[in-house]
Parts: sequence; C-alpha cells; structure tokens
Amino acid sequence: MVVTEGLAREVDFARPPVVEVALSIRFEPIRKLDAAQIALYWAGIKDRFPLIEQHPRLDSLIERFDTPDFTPSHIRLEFGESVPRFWFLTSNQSQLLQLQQDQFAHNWRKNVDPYPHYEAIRDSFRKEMETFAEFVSAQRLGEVAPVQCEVTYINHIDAGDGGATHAHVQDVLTVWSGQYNPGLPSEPETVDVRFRYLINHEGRKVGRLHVELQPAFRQQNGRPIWVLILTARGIPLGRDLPGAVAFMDLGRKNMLQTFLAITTLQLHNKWGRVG
Amino acid sequence: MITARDLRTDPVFRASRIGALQREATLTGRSFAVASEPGLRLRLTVDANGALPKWVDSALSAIEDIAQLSDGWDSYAARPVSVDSIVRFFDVMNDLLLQFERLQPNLVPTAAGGIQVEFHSHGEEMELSITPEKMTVFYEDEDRGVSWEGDFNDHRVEVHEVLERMAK
Repeated sequence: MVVTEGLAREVDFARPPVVEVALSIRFEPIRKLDAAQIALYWAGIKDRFPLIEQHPRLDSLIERFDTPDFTPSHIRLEFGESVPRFWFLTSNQSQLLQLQQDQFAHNWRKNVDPYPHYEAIRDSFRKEMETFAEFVSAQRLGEVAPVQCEVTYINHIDAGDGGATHAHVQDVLTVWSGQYNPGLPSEPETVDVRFRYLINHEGRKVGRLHVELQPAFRQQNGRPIWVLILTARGIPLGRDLPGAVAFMDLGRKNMLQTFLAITTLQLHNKWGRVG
Repeated sequence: MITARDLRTDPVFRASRIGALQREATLTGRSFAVASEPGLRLRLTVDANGALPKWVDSALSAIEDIAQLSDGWDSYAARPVSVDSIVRFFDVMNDLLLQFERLQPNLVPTAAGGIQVEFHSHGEEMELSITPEKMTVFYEDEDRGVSWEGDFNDHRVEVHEVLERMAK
C-alpha cells in the first residue's frame, strides 16, 4: 500500500504488503456485447494482452443509501444464458482486463513486477477503458454509461514470528485492543473483522469503504497471514469515464487514509514506511 | 471485480468463505428451461442479505419442474406454464413472500398456463392464482366460517396478515 495522490507521496512504503489492485466500472448492460463481439475486441488488444480465459459472470454490487441498512433478499430472473466474463492477460499475467456485459476491470497482480503505484494503474485502466468504449461505439453496440465504480486493494500481512496466531489482531489493527476482562477460557482460534465507512463528497453520501481482515495461510510454507482487503465502491461523480475516475481517486484517498489509521505503526515500520 | 477471490488459494480461507455463502452461491446462476418458449432459459441471481428463508429452495425446485411441463401435461389440453406467470410469481416472491422465514407454499400448475400458490395452516387456506393476465386470491377459514376472494391487489393487506399468522 503506497500513499500517493492527495497526500503527494508524503508517505510511502519500501516493502508494501499489497499483492493485488483492481479498478472496475459497472455500467448499464450492453446486450449486444456477445462472445463474438468480445472476441473482436480482444483482437484489438491482443498485442498487449495475448492470453485469454473464460470465467463465470460476476454479480454486480451496488451501494445504496436511500434505504435502511437492511436490504431485503431478492431473487432476480434473467432471460437467456448470460455471456461469461473474459480475462485478457499480459504474457507475465501480472496485469489483466476483465470484461462482461456490464463490467470492465483492470487488475495488477504481484507476480514479478514491483507495485507500480495507484496512479500508474489508474492511468492504464483509463486508457484501456477508453479503448473499450471506442470499440463499443464503433461497433454500434450501445454506450458505456458508468453506474458504479470500485477500487480494491488486497494486502497480505504476515501474522508474526514465533507464537503469533490469528487471535492476535492487535498486531495488525490499531482499533483492536486484545484486552479481555479476567476469566476468558481461551483466546479466539481465529478472527474475522469487517468495517464499513461512508464516503462523502460535497455533503452527500457517494460510496462506502469496506475493510475486511481475514485469516489465511501461505500455501508454500503454511505460515499464518492476514488478508486485508479494502474496497471503495460507489457512485461515479459524473455519468462518464472522468466521473468514474474521480470517484476512484476519492475512494482511493479515503482508503489509504483509513489504511494508515487502522494498521499499527509496528507494521508501518516493518514495511519500510517513508514519510 | 477482483481476481483475488479467484486467486486466493488458501484452503482454510476458501473453505470458510464458501461455507458462509454456500446456499446463495448454489442458487445464483441456477438456470432452467421453459417449455412454453422453447430455447429460452431463465437464470436466477440471488441478492441475499443474510440467509434466505429455508423454504425458498423447495419453491425454486417446484417452479423449475412446473416450467418444464409441456402441452397436455394433465393428459388433456393443459397449456404449459407461461413465462409471464413465472415472472409474476417471482414478483410475488420478492415483494411479499421472502420476508417470511417460515412458510410452506405449495406450487401447482394450472391448466390455463398459470401457477397456483397454496398455503395451509391451522384450518386456514389461501390460494394465490397467478396467470399472465391477472392475479387473484381465495381465502377460507372453515373453523371461523370466514372466506373472501378477489383481485390480489385489492387484498394485499389481508394477504399479508394471513401470511404473518401462518409464518408464526
């Protein structure tokens, strides 16, 4: 996790824990964007993304503010088989585009390349999104009208040396004391933590920042780690690509301020905090 | 839209995640054919806040079976259930039925291509008849000697009250 925009690189980390970043836009479904059209789109980006994979379609998550916090369950009916989600990957698989009829995403993954910083990922996302929008327009498939956008950072944090376990959340989060009243029979075997914060813009609610801390184990050595996922999701600040990117910048700023506030200074030092 | 969900390979984490989402994940993406419109498939997506009521699974299985009945399914001249009837049924599910944890709706096809949703509990009986054209309700409580029927929209409040009693 590197602190950049808004804070003007006042804070940076030499060894950031981030392993994946995803920027995505959800738009009104483009019904004519079928598998054949997606193949045609791939032909235009194949020089940069030569690998392709097919995955199940993802559902759309929409942040709502007009209803009480509890939204009743709902079952939607859709007509016809949905077009799947396609991945287009760079040859080293560290970057990929994801495309389905109502979503477009650009991911950076920590495979071989160092973390390129948010601005670089965002600019790459914007360029690829513009290319896609031009394709949609040229093929007369409709228009890309953003209705929701999202920035996600995934961090892997070592659960510590020696006897550290997934009970020791206080090693990661400043807001967890780890203190109990006397008489606790045993520490928790494992802990999952979730926070939600509102994201406001000019006096109105425009999004939410979701923070999840989940226990996990590294596959190569079985050592415990924490997976800290921060997702800023909300309404574009305009119904066009610049509006969507503006929300991403806002969400990202909220995200990293929150990240700095809720993670411990010991971890900041371990990650080589500068500034 | 993150790939981490796809990439995350930690077995413990994955197991807990799948366990937490199992029922909704199983239902989402489920699709079924509709005999009245050959070639068409209807796909379900669940936006669940918390767990869905347990009766939903069997109701969805029933609607899938009903949707696949072809012409003359009653050995006479019954029509297959129409897509419009199925859509109306899901409207009723979402607007009304899903808020009740404990219901035992019995779904049966009608010869006219509709769906009848029946509820029975402690002497009370209620039937919602769904067709492409309209939705009607019939209610009877033999013990109390009470019955009424008519257009569903004219009896929404009463239907809700009956379901509340039945769900207790």
